[in-house]
Amino acid sequence: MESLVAGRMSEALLGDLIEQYQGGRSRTWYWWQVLQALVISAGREVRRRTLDTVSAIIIGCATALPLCYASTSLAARFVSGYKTFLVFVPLVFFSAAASGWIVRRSYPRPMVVIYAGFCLVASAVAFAMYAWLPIYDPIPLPVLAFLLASDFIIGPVGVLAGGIWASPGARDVWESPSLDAP
Amino acid sequence: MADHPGSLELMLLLAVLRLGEDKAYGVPISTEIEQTTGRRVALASVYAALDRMEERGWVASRVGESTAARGGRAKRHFRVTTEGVRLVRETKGSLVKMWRGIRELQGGTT
Repeated sequence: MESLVAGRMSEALLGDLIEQYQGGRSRTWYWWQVLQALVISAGREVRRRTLDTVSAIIIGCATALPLCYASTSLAARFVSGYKTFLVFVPLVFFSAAASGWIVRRSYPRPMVVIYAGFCLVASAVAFAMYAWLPIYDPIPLPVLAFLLASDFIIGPVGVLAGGIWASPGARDVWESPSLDAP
Repeated sequence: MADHPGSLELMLLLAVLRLGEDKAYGVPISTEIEQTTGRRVALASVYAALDRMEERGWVASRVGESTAARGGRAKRHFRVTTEGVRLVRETKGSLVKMWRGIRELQGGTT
């Protein structure tokens, strides 16, 4: 949460959550508050920095999609059959993580959550279109399972992991003064 | 920028005033609102709204002590500024004026 929620909010909020958790609040309560903090912080950032949000999403997609396409195309030359998916899973994850890393290094903290959320929404729209428009041949079940897993789990988790991975060295130049400031 | 507080903002201003600066940080503010009004407010909503109100000059904050029970994180204490107090008074005055003369709201509890 410290890596993904806007700076001014994260330290005091995280302290409050730890205090409450130590005071007997449940784990469910704790994680529900963390989830709410991620969503609220991201929503606030979208309203405050709409253009930056759009450019963060474009940069994220412009990193992830070519990287994913190139790496999986290359892998498909050496592996065949359904075993391909076992190779694809880490490739999708690392492509998503690389894009999350770049977004986190280039934009304020909540942008990674916004970009991961966009990936989920875009995947949902793509699958809804596939379900409602009879334009494709039926996808084999293992392929469909892989696509669902990569779009709804591996991709977004990879983006968040990349964002968290990039956090230690990231400069939060656009954020409000940190609570650490004297 | 809006000059009038929304219902959550008004509740936050009143909660901070009721608690006083020493006690007014995230958890007690949220608890005060829940105990007084029955409305549950997420801690993140409390901080997001207070951040917004600080930008508007209605509240001010200072970094407090960090304790082991908080994982070494500092508290953020809030106080209502003079502008914030003026705003609460004005809002109360406006609401009381609006209340007056409404037959349905007089005499009963419903």
